[in-house]
Order: sequence, then structure tokens, then C-alpha cells
Amino acid sequence: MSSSSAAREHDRWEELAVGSALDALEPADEQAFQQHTLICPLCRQTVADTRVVMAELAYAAMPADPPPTLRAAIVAAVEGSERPPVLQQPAPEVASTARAETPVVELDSRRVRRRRAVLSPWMGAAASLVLVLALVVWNLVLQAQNSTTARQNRVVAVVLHCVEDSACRTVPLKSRSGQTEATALVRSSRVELVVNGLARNDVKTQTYVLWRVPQGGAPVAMAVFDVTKSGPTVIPVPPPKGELRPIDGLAISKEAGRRAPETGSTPLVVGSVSA
Amino acid sequence: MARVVARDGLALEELYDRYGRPCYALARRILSDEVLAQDVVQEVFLTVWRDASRFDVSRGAFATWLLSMTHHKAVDTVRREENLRKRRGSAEQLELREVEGPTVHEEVWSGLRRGRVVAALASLPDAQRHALELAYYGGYTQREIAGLTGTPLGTVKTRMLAGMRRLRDQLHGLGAAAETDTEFGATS
Repeated sequence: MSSSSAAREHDRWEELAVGSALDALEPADEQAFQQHTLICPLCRQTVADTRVVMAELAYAAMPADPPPTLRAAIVAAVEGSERPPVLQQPAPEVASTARAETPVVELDSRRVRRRRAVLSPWMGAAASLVLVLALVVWNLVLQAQNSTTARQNRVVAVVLHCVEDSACRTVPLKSRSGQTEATALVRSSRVELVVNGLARNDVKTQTYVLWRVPQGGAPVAMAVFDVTKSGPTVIPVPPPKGELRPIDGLAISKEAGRRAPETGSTPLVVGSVSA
Repeated sequence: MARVVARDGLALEELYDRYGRPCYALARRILSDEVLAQDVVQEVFLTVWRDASRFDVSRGAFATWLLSMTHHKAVDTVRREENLRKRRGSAEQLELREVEGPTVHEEVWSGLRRGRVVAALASLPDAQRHALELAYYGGYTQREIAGLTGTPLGTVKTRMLAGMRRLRDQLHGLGAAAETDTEFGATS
């Protein structure tokens, strides 16, 4: 058998490998393939590689939150509780189980918090906003006092301008550790970015990208920028296409190359416009 | 996973908190039925609890194992419940619609990941994408796909292999990157 015919023959097995990983083979094909895998490490690898891709495809499915009752049912089963599974029951308004520390309670509490936010939408939010902005300004003012650079004064001016503008919202962009490394100042038609904590990038081979992330949708690059200095810096952002809706998120990633790729790498910091 | 093997129930809860959402979304996508999707996810996590030692880290990431198991059980279920089949699998099924529940923070992370996968799928030739979506999201066998699309079985097999190779190339490294990304909810 020539090498090309051998390759074609193996392609046929690889076709079955993909089908097997996808549970898409007829029983006879599956049986034949399983016997083949006993002697073919390449096909075993193809099955493994296909399953990795399949796991990624799971994330293309429509995002959906399982009901809190599902978690409770799993926990109950694991604990060997005599409580019957509570699938299909509506989620309680406030969890009343004895496991007050479980995330079931946390999930329901989250709902309660959301409901309360609807009942008193402005008072708490306004107080929190004032407090956050005051802290941001105070922090920046303190830093400005220690430095006379125009750059830092510019930061203070931009933030103060946002504080004075009732239509301006501050969006902290936090790392996975919870550290705020940038703050977006968001108006309906304009976004400014204050970075204060992102590491300097190699301006020849890397760039930072600010992404707008619609709920459940693909991110869209808003700006590319470099961080070349330590300390707070204002980054200009081109006007967004369309108003930033309350559900939008923002994220910053560091990318190889000097342009925003079509899809970004894992973001370094993220934040919610509605936060 | 070592904690789950050691019968630490809290560890399983942590795994559920991290992976329950993508598992549920996948099962619901395949089954088009929320109750059956819940049944599948419950069965998956109880299998993890009972047979955690079956997971072999040398054969792949935990997320891959878990989502493969979810896919397998959901496909088993949809084949048992033939009347549930909605003949889905076209790209239209991946259209965005709003869902309640996830925080925007979670949405940002999952949105980035989803964007990559959707883009990779969209880059495939229609015939390859259609065949893979019918198999993965629809639970159809290669022979059924051939019948559904009026395509020779051999062509269906070839398209699925070609499409999977292209996806593998395009998504190379994404899973590995996510393995270190706890917020992504991707791995143990």
C-alpha cells in the first residue's frame, strides 16, 4: 500500500473518530472503530482532540442559568438527605433551608437584592455612586498632590468632570483578584478610560484592547492603546457605535501585534456599565 | 477533583458552581427542554460524585471530560425522547437572545469565549458547519445527517472531519488558556 493510499485509509478511520467522539456513529461503525482504536494511537488522539473542540462548542450554546432548585437537588442527593429532589418546583422567594450558607441562598438573595433595587432604584445607587466617585477623586487628588505632572492633573480634571456630570457613570474594571486596574467614564456617546494599574506593554509587539461586550454576544473592539507609564493615565476612546446599553460589559485584554484582533484573548479586567 | 474523590461534598458544590451553567446550557440546547436538561445535569454531577476516580487528568482537562459526559448523556436522552427533536442545528440556533440570571461580569467572560467559538463556527463552509451542528447540537448520527441533508454518507463523514480539523486549528489553545481561568468556569 502506497503512503498516499495509507493516508486515505487512515482518513476514513479519522472520520469515524470524529463521529465516535460526537456519538454520531451507527452501532456497527462504532464497534469497528473501537476495535481499531486498540491498535491506533493516532485515532485515540483524534478522539481526544475532538472532545476538546466539543467542550469549546458547548460555550457557543445559548447562555442559560440552571434554576437554584437544581443545585439544591444535587446537594441533597450528595448529602444522602431524605429530602426529595425539588426539580420543577418554582424557585422560592427566599430560601428557607437549613443550609443558610449554601449558594442556593446566595442565588435567591441575589434575586432579592435585584428586586429591592427595582423598588428603590435611585437612592442606594446614588449614595453608592457618590461614595465611589468621592473615593476615586480623593485617591487621584492625593496622587496629584504628590506629583505635578500634567498627566496626573489631566486625570483629576477628567474624573472631576465626570463627577459633575450627572450623565456620566464610572465603571471600575477589575481583575480576577478584584483589583481595579482601570476605570471607564461612560456617557451615552462618549467613553474615557483611566488606567491605573495595568502593566506597561511592549509597544512594538503588543497592544491593549478595550472591548465592549453585549450581553451574551461577541465582544467588539472599542479602542487600542498602550500603557507606557506608571500611574494614572487618561486613554481617549473613539465614540462608540450606538449608546452603551445598561447591560453592556467592558473588558481590556492584552493582544499580540499592534491591532485589535477579531476576537480577543482572555481579558485582564472586566466591568459592567450598569454597576 | 482530588477533594471530590475524597468525598468532600463542598468540593462538588464548587465544581457545580463553576461548571453547572455551561453544562446546563449545553443540555438545554440539545434537548430543547429545561426539565430534561436539569435531569441530565443532575445525572452528570452525581456521576462525578460517584465515579470521580474515573477522571484521568493525563487524558485531558476536567472541563472536557465533564462537557463530553454532558453531551453524551444529553444525546442519549434526546434519542430516547425522539419526539423532542426539533430538527435543530442550523446557524440560526446560535442567534443571541437575552437570558435572565448571569451577572454582567460572568457575561463578559463567557461572552468573550462564546464570541471566539461562534466566530470559529461561522468561518466554516456552510456544509461543514451544518453537519457538525446537526451532530453536536442536534444529536443526529452521520447516517441521519446524510438522510436529512440528502448528502452521501461518505460526504457527510468527510465534511465533519474537515470541519473539526479547522475548528481544532482555530480554537487551538483556547481550552488550555481557559484551564487557568477560574472565572471562565472552565476547569478544575
